[in-house]
Amino acid sequence: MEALVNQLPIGLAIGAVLLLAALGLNFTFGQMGVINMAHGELIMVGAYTAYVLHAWVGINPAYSLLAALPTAFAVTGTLGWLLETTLIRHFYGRPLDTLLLTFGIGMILQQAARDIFGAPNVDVPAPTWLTGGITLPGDIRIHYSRLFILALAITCVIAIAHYLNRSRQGRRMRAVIHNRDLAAVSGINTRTVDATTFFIGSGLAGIAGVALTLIGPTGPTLGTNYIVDAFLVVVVGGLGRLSGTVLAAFALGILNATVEAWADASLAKLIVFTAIVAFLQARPQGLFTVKTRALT
Amino acid sequence: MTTPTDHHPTLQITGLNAGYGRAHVLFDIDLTIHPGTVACIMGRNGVGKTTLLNTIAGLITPTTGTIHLNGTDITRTPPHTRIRNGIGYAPQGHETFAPLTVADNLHVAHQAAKRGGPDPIGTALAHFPRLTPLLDRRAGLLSGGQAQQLAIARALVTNPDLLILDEPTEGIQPNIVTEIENAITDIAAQGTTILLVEQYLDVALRCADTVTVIDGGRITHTGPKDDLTEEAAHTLLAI
Repeated sequence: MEALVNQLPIGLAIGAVLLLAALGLNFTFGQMGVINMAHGELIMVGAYTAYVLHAWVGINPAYSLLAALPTAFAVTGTLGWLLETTLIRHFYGRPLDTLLLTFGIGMILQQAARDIFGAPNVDVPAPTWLTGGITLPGDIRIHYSRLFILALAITCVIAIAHYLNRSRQGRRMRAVIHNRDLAAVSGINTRTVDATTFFIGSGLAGIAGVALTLIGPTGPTLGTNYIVDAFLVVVVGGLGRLSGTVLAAFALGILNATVEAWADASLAKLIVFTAIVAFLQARPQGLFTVKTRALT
Repeated sequence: MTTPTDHHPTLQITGLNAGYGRAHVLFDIDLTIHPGTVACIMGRNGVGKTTLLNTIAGLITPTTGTIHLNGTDITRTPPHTRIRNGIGYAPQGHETFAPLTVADNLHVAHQAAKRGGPDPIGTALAHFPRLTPLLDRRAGLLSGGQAQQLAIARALVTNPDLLILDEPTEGIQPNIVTEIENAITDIAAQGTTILLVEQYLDVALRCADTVTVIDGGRITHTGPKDDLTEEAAHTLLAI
């Protein structure tokens, strides 16, 4: 129990990274059911956007992070919107074809990153106001960058919840996701909603990418390291359930941190995966589902 | 946007053939519905009634034939455009947006259709007062009768010229069937043209001005409801 308490702050920090990586997938996979294997590469594009603003455009590191967040959202959102309207749209209802298509898109994006930025990793310096950290009881040190990521993740969750529940577009999105044909015969342009959903989901991947530059180097395979965990978070949370995604991200983060405190990384991964498999055997629908009177 | 006129029927279907891939369901359908009337389509299960309504609403693309709404050809327009042009559709099975509240179900249709009046909630509750205490409840938690009333109200708040109702009394308790019947009569009295698919002959005869019978994907009878004698109903509807 003491180990769990000690690892809690680290687990929350890991969970925040997982949450940011999974929030976009909550839209494209959780809400729309598109197995978007290129989501990791959209995270990577977001990270390189931060690099471009710093190294190529020359924005002062003190401000480049804040400039990178909306820019990466716009860049990866537009990229996702283009992919949805030109390619992915034609594969709806064909999940295996979609998986292969988006896997191929991911490979192309990775190679494009190698061609443009080179194969070696690059660094995006963190702003000076994020250097240092706080030391908690038990001699646990949390970097300000991790706290920033936690705050960013919470801000994104609040913004998404507000969008889905309070805005016209959010209500339309939920209507289309629940019943596409009924939405269409209610006057909703479902194609526009699909494209918007993909734009937001991809844009959130870009924000995750910027956040990841704070905790490690940026390379063409950056997103690949997070894509499996991001899918796990969305599945464990319950498809399309924002509250489930949040809870699952932090639960997996804390589980990871706790297990890694006494096991090496590979064994920890094995234990976490085994726990997830066991959980999904017992509760295949994930943590949260929409309760209705219907049997399905 | 189409507008209702005295010169054009609200709905005119000519030579319509439709189906699902190789399964040909509707054959050479010709149907005209005039403004302000209630037209009822009857027929046994599986004869193509819902397929016809889904084709009118744009969910199924016909292989041949044309559909005109207020004189405008809508045969190839997508469903959301047809709703914005004046069709309101409550599909079979009291379909609602289960994760949304009752109020949000009404708002989402009203805002998307871009043609409703200023007060969609007031419009809905005027016809279905039973929904008043349920506005903040998620639609997925409503009973069948409540959900059916919401489904009709959701179609109604788009201020349609043609309101299409697919078996609105199916599986509903008798007192709510009466409420739905009364609502249909009131909506028609306000000038909205209604296309109704109904299994119950007595409901159809109370609500409708004309009755059309479909059998095997073809129209086998159409005319004023008074033409549909009990004997003819037995023959045409196999009841």
